[in-house]
Amino acid sequence: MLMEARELAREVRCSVTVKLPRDEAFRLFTERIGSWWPMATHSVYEAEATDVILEPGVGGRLYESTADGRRADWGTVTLWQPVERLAMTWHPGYEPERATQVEVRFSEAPDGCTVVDLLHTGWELHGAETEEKASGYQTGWPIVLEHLVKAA
Amino acid sequence: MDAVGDGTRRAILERLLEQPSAVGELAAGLPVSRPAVSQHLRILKDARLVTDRRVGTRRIYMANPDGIRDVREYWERFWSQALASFRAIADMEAEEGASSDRTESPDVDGGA
Repeated sequence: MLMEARELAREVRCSVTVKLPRDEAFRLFTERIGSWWPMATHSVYEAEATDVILEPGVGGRLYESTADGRRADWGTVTLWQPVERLAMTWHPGYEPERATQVEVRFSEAPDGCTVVDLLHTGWELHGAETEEKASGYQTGWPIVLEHLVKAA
Repeated sequence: MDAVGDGTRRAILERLLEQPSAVGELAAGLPVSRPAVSQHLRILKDARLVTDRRVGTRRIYMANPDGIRDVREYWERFWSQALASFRAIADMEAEEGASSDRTESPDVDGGA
C-alpha cells in the first residue's frame, strides 16, 4: 500500500506525437499557445477566456486574458531552450507561492514528427481539496476555481 | 490550504510516503511545532491525501493511495486533454502544409 502510494505520488507524465517538425511544434506550442489551448474547459474564466499568452524567455509569464481585460496568471518560465525544452512554474487558480512545476520536452521523431513529453511535479497539493471531483466534473479546472472561491 | 503551509505539508506527505508515523515522530524531524504538524495533518486528512489508524494508544498517520490517485487522475486527464488539443491543431497545420506543397508542385510540373 505504501509502495503503491509512493508510485502514485510520482510526477505526472503525458506524451503526444505530432506531425510537425520540432521547430514548428515548439513555436506552435509557445508562440501560438492561444490557438490550440482548450481554454473553454482548461482556464480560470472558462467561456470568457479569449486568449492564452506565453511570453518567451526565462521570466516570461504564462497567462490567460478575457475580452474585458481581466487576466489570470498561470505561471512563469524558468527554463527556456528553444525548440528543445522549456520549464515553468504552474499555479493556475493559486497564488504564485503555491506553484508546482511543469517541464515540456520536444524530441525529433521519424518522418518529420515530434514527440512532446510533459512532466508535472508537485501536483499533489493542487486539486486535492475537493469533494466535487467524484461527482463528475469532466475537466478539473472548476475544481481549481472552487478552491479559489473557498480561499478568497 | 494556504501558501505558507504548502512546503511543510509537502514535507509531511513525503515522510509519510516513506513510512507511517505518529505526530511526535513527524514533529521531531521538522522545524515546526507538534500542534502545527497536527494542524497540517488535519488538512491533509481532509484532502484525503493522508489517513490515520489507532494502534494501541498511538495514532499512526499514513499516505492514502486512494486520495493521491484521485488527484493524479485529475492531472493526467487535464494534461492529456490539453495535449490532445495541441496534437489536433499541429496535425491540421501539418496536413495544410503538405496539401499546399501538393498544389504548388503541379504548377511546376505543368510548365515542363
